[in-house]
Amino acid sequence: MLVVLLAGCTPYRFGWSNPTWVKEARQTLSARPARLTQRAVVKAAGREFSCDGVVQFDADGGLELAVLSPMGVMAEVRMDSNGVVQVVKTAPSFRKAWAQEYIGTVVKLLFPVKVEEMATSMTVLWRREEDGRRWEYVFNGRKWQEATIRRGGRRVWEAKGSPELWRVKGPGVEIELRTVERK
Amino acid sequence: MYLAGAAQAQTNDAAAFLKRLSATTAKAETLFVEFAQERHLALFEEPLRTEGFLAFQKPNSIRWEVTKPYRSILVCTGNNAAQFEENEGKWKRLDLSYMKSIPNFVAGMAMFLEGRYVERQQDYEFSVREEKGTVLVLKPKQKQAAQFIEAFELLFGDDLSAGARRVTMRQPDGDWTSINFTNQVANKALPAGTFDLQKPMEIEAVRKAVTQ
Repeated sequence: MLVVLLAGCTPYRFGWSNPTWVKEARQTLSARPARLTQRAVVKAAGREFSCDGVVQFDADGGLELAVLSPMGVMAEVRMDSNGVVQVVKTAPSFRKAWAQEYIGTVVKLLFPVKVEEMATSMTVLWRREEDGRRWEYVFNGRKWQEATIRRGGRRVWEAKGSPELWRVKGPGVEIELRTVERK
Repeated sequence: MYLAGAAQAQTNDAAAFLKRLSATTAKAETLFVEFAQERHLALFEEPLRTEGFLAFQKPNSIRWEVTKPYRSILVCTGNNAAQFEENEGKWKRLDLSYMKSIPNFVAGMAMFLEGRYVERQQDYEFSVREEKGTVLVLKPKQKQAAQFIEAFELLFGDDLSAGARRVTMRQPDGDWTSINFTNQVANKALPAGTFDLQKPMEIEAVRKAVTQ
């Protein structure tokens, strides 16, 4: 019997012949330190700037993220264990709607929640429908290496690489994220 | 009445301290110092720490380099600036998005480093207090600036020519950042490549040149 525990989650159960892969994939996605520091180079409108992203993972699967520029906090967001993102605060010069759309999306792209609900084919590990968007997390072999968001079948966001070095592309923005510290 | 008198005394203290500071630190032509920055955010239990070096040369050359937990260089000379990020052992120069704000940033940093606070009396309210040294407190007068910063606090030791030992930036929401400066070297010639906008000299080579 197919049990959908997460509202809006579309599970797949076919072609998954090796349960070891499932176990390893789960471990990879859910292996999280207490805190992670990433250095980001963001390219938008033909210009680049750098910032730090500091993620603190909660025991219940949620997280807090602070995006910091040399001049101070640009934005702080929280994501609960159901993947609901809330912008806690933004710098006066930083639009809250931008933080919700861009930072919220990247957080959900890179740190999927409820991974224990996955049930899938050999390549697509986990899917979720939300706000007219389809989220897909893809394993190639035993390594998580791609996450995409599609709207109307068209790819609007993608993240490729690994937890150590992600390259993220979205509407009008490219971000290179390097993990520089784990605690 | 008592409060008004106390405030006047504090203003006089600040004015006297600023005068002494200005006379002493203005003599430094160059500065090379290590820093450890800690950001204290309400969101996180532990502070976020970065380390690196600051180099300054009169009138308007500044290099701010982070060496831990990642490597990043910001070099400013006058109206020009360049930023470099290290990735897998290679430096990449960024196409900066904030060039317009660079002259203001450089002017502000130079003012701090040269101790020319008196010039900004229209922008800041000054006061001093004693706390393991003298703490100079700058509070922005303008509402727009006060949105970002509640106060700068600069801790000085007995030797004012050594500059501030610690700078604390307090934000209106309660978050704060402190930068501790150590191993300060003043008035030693900095190598020509220190502020190179194309290929800045390795910081270890700069450090060796000023400490030998």
